[in-house]
Amino acid sequence: MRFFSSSCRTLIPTYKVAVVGSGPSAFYTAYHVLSKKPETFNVTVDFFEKLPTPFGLSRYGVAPDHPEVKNCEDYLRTMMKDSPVRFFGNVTVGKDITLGELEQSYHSICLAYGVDNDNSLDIPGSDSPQVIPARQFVNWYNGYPTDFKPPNLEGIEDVTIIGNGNVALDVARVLLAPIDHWKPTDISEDALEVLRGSTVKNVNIVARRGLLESAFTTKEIRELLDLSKKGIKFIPIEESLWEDFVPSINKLDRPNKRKFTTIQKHLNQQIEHPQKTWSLQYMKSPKEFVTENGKLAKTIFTKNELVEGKVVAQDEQIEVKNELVILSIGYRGSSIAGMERYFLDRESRLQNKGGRVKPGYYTSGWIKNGPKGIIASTMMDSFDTGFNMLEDLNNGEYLQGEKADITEKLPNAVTWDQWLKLDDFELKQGEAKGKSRDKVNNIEKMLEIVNS
Amino acid sequence: MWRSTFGQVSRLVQSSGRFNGSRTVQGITTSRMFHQSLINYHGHVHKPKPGEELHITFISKDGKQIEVEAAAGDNLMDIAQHHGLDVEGACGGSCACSTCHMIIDPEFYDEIPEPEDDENDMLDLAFGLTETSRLGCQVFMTPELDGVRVALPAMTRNLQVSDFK
Repeated sequence: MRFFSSSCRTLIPTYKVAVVGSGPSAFYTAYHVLSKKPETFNVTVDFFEKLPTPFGLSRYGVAPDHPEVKNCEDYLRTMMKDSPVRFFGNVTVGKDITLGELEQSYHSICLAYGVDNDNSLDIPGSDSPQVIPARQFVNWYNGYPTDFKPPNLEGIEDVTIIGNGNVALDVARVLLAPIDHWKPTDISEDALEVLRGSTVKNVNIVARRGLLESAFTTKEIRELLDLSKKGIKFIPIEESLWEDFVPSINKLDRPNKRKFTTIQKHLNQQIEHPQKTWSLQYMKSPKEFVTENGKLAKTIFTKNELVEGKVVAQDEQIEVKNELVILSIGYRGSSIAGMERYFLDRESRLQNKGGRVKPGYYTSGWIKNGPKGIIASTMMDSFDTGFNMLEDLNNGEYLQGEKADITEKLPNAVTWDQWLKLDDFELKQGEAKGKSRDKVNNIEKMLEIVNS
Repeated sequence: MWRSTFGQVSRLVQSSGRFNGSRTVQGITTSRMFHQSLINYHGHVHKPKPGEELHITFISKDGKQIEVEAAAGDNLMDIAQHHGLDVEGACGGSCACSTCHMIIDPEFYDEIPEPEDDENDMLDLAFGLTETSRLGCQVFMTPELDGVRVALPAMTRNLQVSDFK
């Protein structure tokens, strides 16, 4: 049997799969397809990545002090060594190559390009240069090639972060943790420089809903609370809200119970002369960002009440002093040229059933589900897309026709071996500076290195 | 009592096949040779010395019982991966994700040192958390665990609803 199948190996079909994007959902989908494919056909995978660098949100979203989370990148690294897989970086699908051209070269196409925009907040003052989206701030400290520069932190004392998901808490940690915490990480040199000059004294993390709706998870809140060891003090949650909430803690499910017990343990941090302070605030929606003398001075909030789970604004207003506001109110996805009719604008994702968009087309990750979810859930969900793709290939449902090779259409593509040069460069630069990696945050420089 | 609870857990694990990560394309066996060569980066298991073999029975996502021998000191994630079982380790066994979630035989659960905060934080995010859930990468074999049974749950977060919107 084994002899028979191996002698016939050349006769079984090979299906070509294109994956748009190279972040966790992209490589987990490919991993599943390659490792679970039946013996009756072969699969090759080509990744198309708009940046010269792979790994998507693992490289540019995960906080610099969470290197262990970035270990997921090993799935792609291993695949590149052991499997029929190619990487084409510096290629924007829809611009450098169209979906139509991909159709002529691939049997299946998986869109895993993620999301690249922010939810906006349309209130007076939101166009102030001192009101910035968290995604931009994260990109900046993670060395994403961007022109964006946040305001200098010198002269800024109070920062308001709107929203309390894990991105908000990452941003707060960047602003609060001492510089020595960041030095050995792969945080961008730019960010390190700005943080060195930071005069930030207080960070308020403000949510429009209540304690129970807190979007952060226990690990991230624990990291902030543990900064007390470095003289950074948590200002207790507003007493009236907390007192009402405490009796319900024991009735919560395990994750929430642990989350709030962790906070409870830290309500009375005894720090005589805190270096910095931070707080969690609830039931407030920003109404206006007020500029005085050409600089952001304060945010006016309306107090909310929750009525049957819905936020209802009250008459009462409060003012919070701040010189910088970071909006962490969610990301937005967009379509890709040729997929407009499948893009669900309100949900910020591509319409799909189990990752199937239309015959031959699949989707994974944030552009499949909307911008939410952690790496573990993304992994399992990407496996689901991969499974459905395999099932369709097995049933003859794929983009028909003779398949051309794509390589000659992409003279400027960055190959995996070229990326490894940049990888090596960054690691060596990092070593010289006592950092785990020193990311190159400029596309021209990246291309110069990979072409050297 | 404990044993029957564990039985229920494994039945639960067995009956939730539709969305687990280990499905095979209908009517076709997956290519195990290829699979093993692809994820061969967790080869950190030791060969037990003769006479010191510890026994583990893994209950796979499709209900199969797989008996393996292991050496003291190795962790359940590495052991399961070494034997070709469907266990992922997205963070490479550094307790930073929940992809190696396993359910431990209650009879043996108390033999394992209690989980630290960081393991509990990740377990909170695991799908189908039970009273005896642990992360495989944090459970190290000891002679006390000889004969333990370990169920590998279907690990998907519950995303079915969004699939049918």
